[in-house]
Amino acid sequence: MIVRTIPFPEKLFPRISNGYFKFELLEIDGKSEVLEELMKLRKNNQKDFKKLLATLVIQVHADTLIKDQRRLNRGIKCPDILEYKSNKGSYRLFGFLGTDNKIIICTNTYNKTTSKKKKQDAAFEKAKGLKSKYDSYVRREECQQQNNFYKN
Amino acid sequence: MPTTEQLLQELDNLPDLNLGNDPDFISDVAKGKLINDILNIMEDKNINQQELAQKLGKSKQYISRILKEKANLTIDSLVHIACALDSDFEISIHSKISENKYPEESCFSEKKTCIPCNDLLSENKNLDPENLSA
Repeated sequence: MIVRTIPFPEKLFPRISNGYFKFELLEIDGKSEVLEELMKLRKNNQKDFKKLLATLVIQVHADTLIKDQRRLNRGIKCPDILEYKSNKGSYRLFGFLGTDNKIIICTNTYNKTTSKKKKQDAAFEKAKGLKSKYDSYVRREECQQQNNFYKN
Repeated sequence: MPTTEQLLQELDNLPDLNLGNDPDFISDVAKGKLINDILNIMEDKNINQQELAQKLGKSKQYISRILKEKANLTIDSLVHIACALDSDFEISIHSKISENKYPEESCFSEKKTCIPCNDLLSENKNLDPENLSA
């Protein structure tokens, strides 16, 4: 299994030259679920997509994580997971901070159409699972690099 | 599930979103940035909504409406908030830079003019464009 992150394609996210944070998309074995979900949203609901994008642009420009809870929510059970929300929109984007605390790695999306928490919690759990996969892959790669270094 | 490569090829065929010319999008970003700035300063200075309301001589509901982006803010009220938070106020409108000419810049790059609130108030200047660009 190969886990890596890819930059946000320019057609999905505006090029910002002076941002502090950067968003990237999680890819596992050459496939990115979150990229597919965002493309579907862009095609089927451009209005909501732009609203979500606005929150991401605000985050890129900020030098700390967004304080406004209407735009960024952290899971109670999983505070490492970031849930980006749009102002008056139903779409959410889940992600987590990379090791350098500057790159936000996006994992999955969720369309909140009900006040019931069950599906939202499931989306948090999914993000948490993807984060674990990413973390263990990064750790394994680091160990391998270290072993190769000592072998040489 | 399609591969990333296939998705990126599909994405190439979609029209641009043209966000730089979308007033709703730009307004959403501008308001959100402003609210985030206010919240950051309030946290840094350990000021809650009630205290900010008192400093402005307004109700807590007024502050709440602002922070929930329900109020349509004027430059005047923003300057008052900035001063109440003992902070500088910045605003600017500038020509778009051609992407071909300056590839490192984008329409979301920041180019600000900084106006210290206290200077404006002490000299009793009004907020006409000449003072703002000073």
